[in-house]
Amino acid sequence: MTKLVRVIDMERCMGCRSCIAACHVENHLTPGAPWNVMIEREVGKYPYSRTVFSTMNCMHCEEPACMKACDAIGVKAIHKSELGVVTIDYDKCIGCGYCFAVCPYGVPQETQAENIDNLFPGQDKTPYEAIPAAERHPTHRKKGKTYQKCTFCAHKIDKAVADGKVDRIGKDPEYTPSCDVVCPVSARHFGDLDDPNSEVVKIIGEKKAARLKEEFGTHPQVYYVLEGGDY
Amino acid sequence: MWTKIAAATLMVATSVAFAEKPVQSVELSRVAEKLRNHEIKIEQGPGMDREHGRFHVIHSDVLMLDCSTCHGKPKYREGVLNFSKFKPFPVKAKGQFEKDVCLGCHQEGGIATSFYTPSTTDE
Repeated sequence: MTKLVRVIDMERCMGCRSCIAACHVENHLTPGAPWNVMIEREVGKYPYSRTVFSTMNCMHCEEPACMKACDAIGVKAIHKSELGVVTIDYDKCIGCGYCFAVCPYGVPQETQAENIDNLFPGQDKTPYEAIPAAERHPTHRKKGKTYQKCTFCAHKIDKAVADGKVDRIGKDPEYTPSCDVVCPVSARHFGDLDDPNSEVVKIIGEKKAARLKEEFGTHPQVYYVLEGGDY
Repeated sequence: MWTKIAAATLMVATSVAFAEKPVQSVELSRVAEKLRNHEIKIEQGPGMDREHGRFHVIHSDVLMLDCSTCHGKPKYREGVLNFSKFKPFPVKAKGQFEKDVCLGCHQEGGIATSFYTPSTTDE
């Protein structure tokens, strides 16, 4: 069994935002609905202060509250795959916002209808926008007034499954989420939690990586090597 | 003598027990049950909108929860890692809502529809 997890090392993160830029490009993000954000805060008191950086994206919980809420109202637009990836079906989503309301991390973002057609009004479409919807991965066929969020780059994970290369997820850039590939200081890692030899398992064990807001019992699949702050 | 002390202790313990069990939560559980059984009908469909969505109608109008029960200060708490924190706080909003409040009713075993399982920290 494969359980995909991400480990973010806040001791190494320097706040360059490469992961955020990569996500924007890879997943055709629309204004006001990012899948990955950087939260920074100062800790300590001058002159002994410093900034702590942490990137937030979907935690792809094992017990996703968003999916439970969506199922409870009968919409059933949120799905969790066997590998642990939580995705939203834009065709089923009714934009009620319950997923956002119950998510302990406030992850799902509403797609603003006016931002779908043209990223730069009055100008030509960018090459990414010009890709016909039918040729895009379902997670990139965004619709106005629906909710969207990080998918662990589901198009890459799906490709790994199709190619029979699930064991290469987290190792080959082709099958690894872009944000984790581009990090210049190796602060992000992605891989299989059920593989005792995977890098993520070693880091979680050695650096005592923790999950945020565990009191909600959603069993997040993103681990943080924490550095300061109140979580 | 000991009988009197035991009786007095029992009375104090009973009064404390009753004092610690808010009457409101009993009422809330009854109303929540009626909502689940559709004995209380809500016209609006699912949605967060104050006028046209079920969310605020259920929590505010039916369960009679005060806005301040969920909405705190008009800004995000310092030091709390929340994805929403990167966005400017809406000017017209009642105040940032504290997600922890939801746990009271929506955790497994609570009076409302369960969205959260018990804490994972005891694993």
